[in-house]
Amino acid sequence: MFKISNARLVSKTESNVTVEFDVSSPTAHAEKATLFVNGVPTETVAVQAGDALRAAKATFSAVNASNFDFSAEYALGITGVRATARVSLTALADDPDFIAVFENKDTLSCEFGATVGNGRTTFRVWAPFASSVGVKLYDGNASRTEALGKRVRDGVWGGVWEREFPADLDGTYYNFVVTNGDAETEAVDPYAKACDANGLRGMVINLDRTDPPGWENDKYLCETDSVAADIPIVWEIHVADFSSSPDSGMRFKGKYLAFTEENTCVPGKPELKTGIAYLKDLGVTYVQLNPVYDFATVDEGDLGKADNTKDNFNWGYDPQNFNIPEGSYSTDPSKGEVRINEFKQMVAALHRAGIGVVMDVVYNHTYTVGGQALHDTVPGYYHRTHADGTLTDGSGCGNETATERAMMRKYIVDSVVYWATEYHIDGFRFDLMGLYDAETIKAVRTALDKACRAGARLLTYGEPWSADGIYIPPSFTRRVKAAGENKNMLIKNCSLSMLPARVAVFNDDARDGIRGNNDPGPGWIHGSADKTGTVAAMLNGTAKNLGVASHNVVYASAHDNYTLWDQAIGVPAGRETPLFYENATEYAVKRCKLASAAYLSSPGIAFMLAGEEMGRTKYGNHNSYNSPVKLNRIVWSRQAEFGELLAHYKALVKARRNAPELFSYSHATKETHGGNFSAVGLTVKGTRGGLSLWLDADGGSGCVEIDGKTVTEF
Amino acid sequence: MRFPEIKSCDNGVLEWASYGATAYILTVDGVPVSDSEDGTYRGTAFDASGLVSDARISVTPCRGTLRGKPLVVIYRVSDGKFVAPPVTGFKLDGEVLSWDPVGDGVRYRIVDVDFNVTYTAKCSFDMTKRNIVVSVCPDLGCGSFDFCDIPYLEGDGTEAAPYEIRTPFDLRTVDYYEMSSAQRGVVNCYKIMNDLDYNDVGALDCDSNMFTLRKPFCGRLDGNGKKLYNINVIYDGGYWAMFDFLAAGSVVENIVFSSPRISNRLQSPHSPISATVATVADVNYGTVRGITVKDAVYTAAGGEICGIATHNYGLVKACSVSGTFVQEGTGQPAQACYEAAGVVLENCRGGAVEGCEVVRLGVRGTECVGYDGSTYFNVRTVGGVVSVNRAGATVSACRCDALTLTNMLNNRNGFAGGFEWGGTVAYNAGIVEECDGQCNMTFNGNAVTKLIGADGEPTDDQCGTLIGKNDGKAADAP
Repeated sequence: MFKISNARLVSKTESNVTVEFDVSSPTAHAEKATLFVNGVPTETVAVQAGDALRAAKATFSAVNASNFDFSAEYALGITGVRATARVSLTALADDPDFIAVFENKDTLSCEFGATVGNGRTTFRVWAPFASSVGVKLYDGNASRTEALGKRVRDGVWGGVWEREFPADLDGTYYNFVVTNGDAETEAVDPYAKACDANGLRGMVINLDRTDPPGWENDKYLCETDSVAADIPIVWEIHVADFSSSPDSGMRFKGKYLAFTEENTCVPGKPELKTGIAYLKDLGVTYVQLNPVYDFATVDEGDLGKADNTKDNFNWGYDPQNFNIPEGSYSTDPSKGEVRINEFKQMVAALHRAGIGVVMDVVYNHTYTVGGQALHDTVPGYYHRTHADGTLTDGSGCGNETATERAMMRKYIVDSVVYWATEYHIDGFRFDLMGLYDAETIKAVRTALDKACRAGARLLTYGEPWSADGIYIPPSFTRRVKAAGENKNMLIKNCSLSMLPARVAVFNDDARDGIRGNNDPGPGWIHGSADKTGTVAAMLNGTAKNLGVASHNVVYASAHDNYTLWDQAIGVPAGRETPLFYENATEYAVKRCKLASAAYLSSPGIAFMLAGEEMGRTKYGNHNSYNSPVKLNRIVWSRQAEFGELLAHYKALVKARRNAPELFSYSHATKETHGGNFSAVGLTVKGTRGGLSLWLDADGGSGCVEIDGKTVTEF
Repeated sequence: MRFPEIKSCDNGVLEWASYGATAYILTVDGVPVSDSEDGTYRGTAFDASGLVSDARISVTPCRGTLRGKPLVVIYRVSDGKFVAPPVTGFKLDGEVLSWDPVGDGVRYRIVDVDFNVTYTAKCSFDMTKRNIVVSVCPDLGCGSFDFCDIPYLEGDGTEAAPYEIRTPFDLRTVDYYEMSSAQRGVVNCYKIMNDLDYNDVGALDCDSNMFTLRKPFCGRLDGNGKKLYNINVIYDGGYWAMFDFLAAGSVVENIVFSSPRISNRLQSPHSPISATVATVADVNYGTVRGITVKDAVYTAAGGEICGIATHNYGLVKACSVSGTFVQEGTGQPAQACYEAAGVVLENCRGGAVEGCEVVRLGVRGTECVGYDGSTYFNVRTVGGVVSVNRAGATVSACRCDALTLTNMLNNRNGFAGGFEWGGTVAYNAGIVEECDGQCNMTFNGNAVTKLIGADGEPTDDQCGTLIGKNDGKAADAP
């Protein structure tokens, strides 16, 4: 049976519009096509051949730039085909007329979402393709829908719908009801700040009442300890991993509140500190939390189920509501304010301990497309596409967001600033930052700088790669051209010297040089002499062809790939991997000492996977994103077995913190080359200021000195 | 139907959200308070700071679009705070917890052992498929909670009157007592009073009828020689054991596990989950003694299997195990796990395994296909009693009478060594003493005759009726 699909309006000129579509057989080119506007046929023309075998197109002159209505419903009818096909306007999101009208100054300066105060509540959403928008207000299971109106400024409607209610609707659950074409969709507010369990409804929230006692006195790390804040030593942790192990000694296992528990230890082992007490001893200056925005895969509605033979765990790189804390880490996800309050308690507790909080943010893709708030309000706008209109997949998760489009850029900027100001977040780690365009990251940095008094000192860094190499989506090219940003590039393809000095990237070249790739292959620590030069370059701050040393995130392990311990023992074992991962063998301990001595002596942001310092293992699992929590969680008892390695890390961390003249991040923003480290065989040797170091991967020995004093020697 | 929710309760002022209500019946200790001519209360805040004694305040919407139930709080003069009225009169009927109502139509906030919250308008909560409840209080809209004194078990937890466990559900409530007593530093005593039939437990989605006690156990559990039977577990997580963690000082003793059946999910050869099965504990820092595991059938689709404890830092004493352990699935040998032991998988520094007996143990592997298309069997290390005995750990006076190893990985698959099989211990870096190694042991159909094997040699030499490979001290070995 002959079918048409994927109909999309691809161009609009002063004289006509062109619709492209796919056909189930090439014979359709002899057919006639009719364009319907709001259900009314406007013109019938001959179908033309498209660029591909099963592609076709039709050009209509009855509709053109002068009478084009973005919010009308467009449909395509083909003779011999019973049903009409809805025509997508996604490609017109990059049309200059669209940009001029719907991304105007007023639209770009709007505060979206639900705002409440002084007895009034305002709802505002951007939906330029919609013919109507309402807000559905819930009262228990009952609901009513109230229409929103178009916001017109200076005679222009910029795609914004809004309505102010003369009532304080704090605590009310709501969704938007958006009619795009012939589809009416109930969509969560993309800017929702609170929601119910599983994030399927937004909630109006007066944020003042979510503040824990003393929140007004909570300060960013850089405001309470500017020296520590300027020497970033980041410890990457997942909220559930932090406390879930029974040996954590914490009550609130798997919850934000575990971070508020003080003086905890392994039960019956007071010498083995856990939680915040452990972190204070270790001396790290920041924790980086794996996703803590509301993600999709953990069922928040069934947390009390007794069936603990099934796991309900995920890393959380499946974003659902970008501006709301994840509910499963709260004690009560069904109440929108609870997760916010407990999240703030966590931040405040870390700040009290002298530790900054970095959020792992994943704006590069959405968990789903349909059913996701951004797409449901403006279908097609927020995601990149191939030439045929299908979604690109630079994230490896099925889609990637179009950061270069003004409203997506605004969304990211607004979101980051919101987390920074409302939750006092000290830094942001951008997942797959290679998928962001450079202008958006610059905009984020600029906005953060201005967001608050501490803004300019908040951290920003990310992964400079994507899952699809250097591919440039056609929709990206179309947009930057239309927007006059011809020099804008995806970060994965641009020179890092184009980035602001305070935007750092994970130095994967150095990581692989230190420990080897994820095959797993050998690195310098295993005796691979061709990698020694990479390690020396990292110590000099020049690895990865960076502009300045502050572009460096130096590290040996993160949540992705094998843990350092598993890599250290896994590579030499080859096919005969070790029987157990629990005991601190001399060979592997020395490999970890070499790795940490190298990166913790390098300029930039020092970064480690939580537990790396005590030989954290995932038993040879290099991608444990949905593995059982037992495999992922921190086992605090390992401190006993790995005491020697832990002491080595503590010494390096302490020395780094005590040497701002060597490791100041602010200084690194002006530093292009700071050392004379060189590689000879498997030995790295050299100095940088008062730092003197030699590390020999042959025998697994080394020495780090600062100002003539030994930091560690092994 | 809903009731006013508290927006704030600071400085003695109670403020609530109207949700469409325009008037309320507000009472203080039953006495109406009005701020309007019609006798109703029109405001959405009440200042209790002037009260001179503790008082019960009730706010019930009576006009407007919100028709609901009252908000009830107690104002406490001593600190000027609003608190939930206490819930009392807890009763347990099977697995249904009930309590006396607090006022009319109050909604209750229920907190479980994992601090998850559920709400109910009823005065009861069915825990049949839910976590054990630790707190019930009227919902104040927000706020913390206190552990409630819920009498799940008979007894007072002392040595003289231990908490009495009579049903599988009773055993689940141990987590509640351990959590609530942890703050007080109390060591609870428990006693199993009769055999526990797990057929009585309604199977959940996963067809499992026994769940791991996940809170660190610091108490003393006397099994009283009673039998736990009809245990059937199909688990999907990272481990299964009766206890997740036995803390230093804890004691678990005198329990008989009769014919337990435990199996776990298939894992990917590329992303092993290293799932473990142990009957009593995943991690033991305490004392486990006098446990009998009879005719166990444990099946792992990639993982570690043992009879008593996976990782032992404490004492495992006088335990007896018999059964069959099977490795199924497609696991790669180039990953962690795929080990088995009759009693303890890994005896860690400081750990001791004493006087344990494995009556009869069969371990069977499965043929798998590797990355390169070659085939191999997937079990690579088995100890009749202990798989790996670390430096600083001791195995003493233990024996395995019969150990049958079938489909074991061997060096003819192209793996040169690093795999051991021992009648008592597979790999020893610690001390093995007073173990005679008189094990009737077969390896892939061949009788094992050596007392101590040698690594890196032909397969048969990696087997020993006492120790597979010895890098430690074997006190009684020749």
